Amino acid sequence: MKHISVIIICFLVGFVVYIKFESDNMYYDRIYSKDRNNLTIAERGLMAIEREHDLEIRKEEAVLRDYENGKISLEEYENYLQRKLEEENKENEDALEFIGNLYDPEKGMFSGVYKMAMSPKFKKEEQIKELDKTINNLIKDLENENKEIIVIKLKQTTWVPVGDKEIDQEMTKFYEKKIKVILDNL
Amino acid sequence: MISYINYLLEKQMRDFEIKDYIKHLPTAGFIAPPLIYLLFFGINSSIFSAFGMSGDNMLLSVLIFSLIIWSVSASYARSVNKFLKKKEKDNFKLVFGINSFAMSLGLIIWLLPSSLGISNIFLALGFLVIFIFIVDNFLRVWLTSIAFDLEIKTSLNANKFVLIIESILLLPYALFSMTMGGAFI
Repeated sequence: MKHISVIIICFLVGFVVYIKFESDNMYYDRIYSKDRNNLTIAERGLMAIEREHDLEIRKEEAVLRDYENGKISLEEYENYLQRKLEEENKENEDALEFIGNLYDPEKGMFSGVYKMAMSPKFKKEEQIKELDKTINNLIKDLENENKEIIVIKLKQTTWVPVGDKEIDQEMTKFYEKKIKVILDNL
Repeated sequence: MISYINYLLEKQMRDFEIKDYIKHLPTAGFIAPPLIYLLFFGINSSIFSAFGMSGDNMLLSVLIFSLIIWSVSASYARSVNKFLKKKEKDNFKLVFGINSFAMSLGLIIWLLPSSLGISNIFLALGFLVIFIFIVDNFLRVWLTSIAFDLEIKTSLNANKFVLIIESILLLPYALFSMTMGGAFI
């Protein structure tokens, strides 16, 4: 008996959801066309919003009918409208706040990636690659360019602070030493 | 002393009531996944229909998703049942029910549209996965302990492979999301 009732519950829920799907599909077939294959994602999204709006209007009409038929009092109807207005306002405020914060570098969607890119460790790696490449290119240019110009360029190649005292001190000393060794050999 | 005895009695009563419900877990675990998916599709039917899903496709999707959860639960149950067999307490149906029920709870948390009040989507996802991992496995271990009269320690031991698999599946994803969300900077 228990198993039969469980199967019946599942079947009923499945049937109700199936009917809901069919009625939604029929609505779209009626409002748009039967062949909806060529619609874009945005168009489909708008369709869904419109359907939700339509369902909302039907619900409002049902409440209004209840009021007109005397099933609910004026106070109850006003309360319903007030509650609905408050919910809508809150939803709009939340949505605006969410969109406003979406690209915020501190708490937005990509704040982690942004913070990672701005972190001294990441900047250090990037600058090391850049400085090493510059130094190597200058050494290669020794064959073609004037030695004095290269010396000036090498002396100008210094570590730019990345915002971490320890890293900046260590790397400044490292590049000063590295460039001194190259200059001594020149 | 009296208050301690009262506490023990209350606990005993609570366990007794829970045990009454536990015998229904095989059935509950079996119907929970399709019911959850049916409710999910039912609530969002206007969106899925707009994207071209028919009623037949919806039923097929519910069946496929449920089959996935049932098979994962069955494989978890096999592992736990092996341990319980050594203690002569094996009951595959009940272990399957516990696992399927625990996974269904995780599913509910996952399908509920909640960003936990965090606008950073990666961070929210990371926390959500960790939350699911904790709730899911806590329920699994706790129900196993009550259903088979085991200590939590023994229940953890019975579920060790399940916990390892869940950790391998969920925690790297949570870690990745939290790294992208900037949790470790």
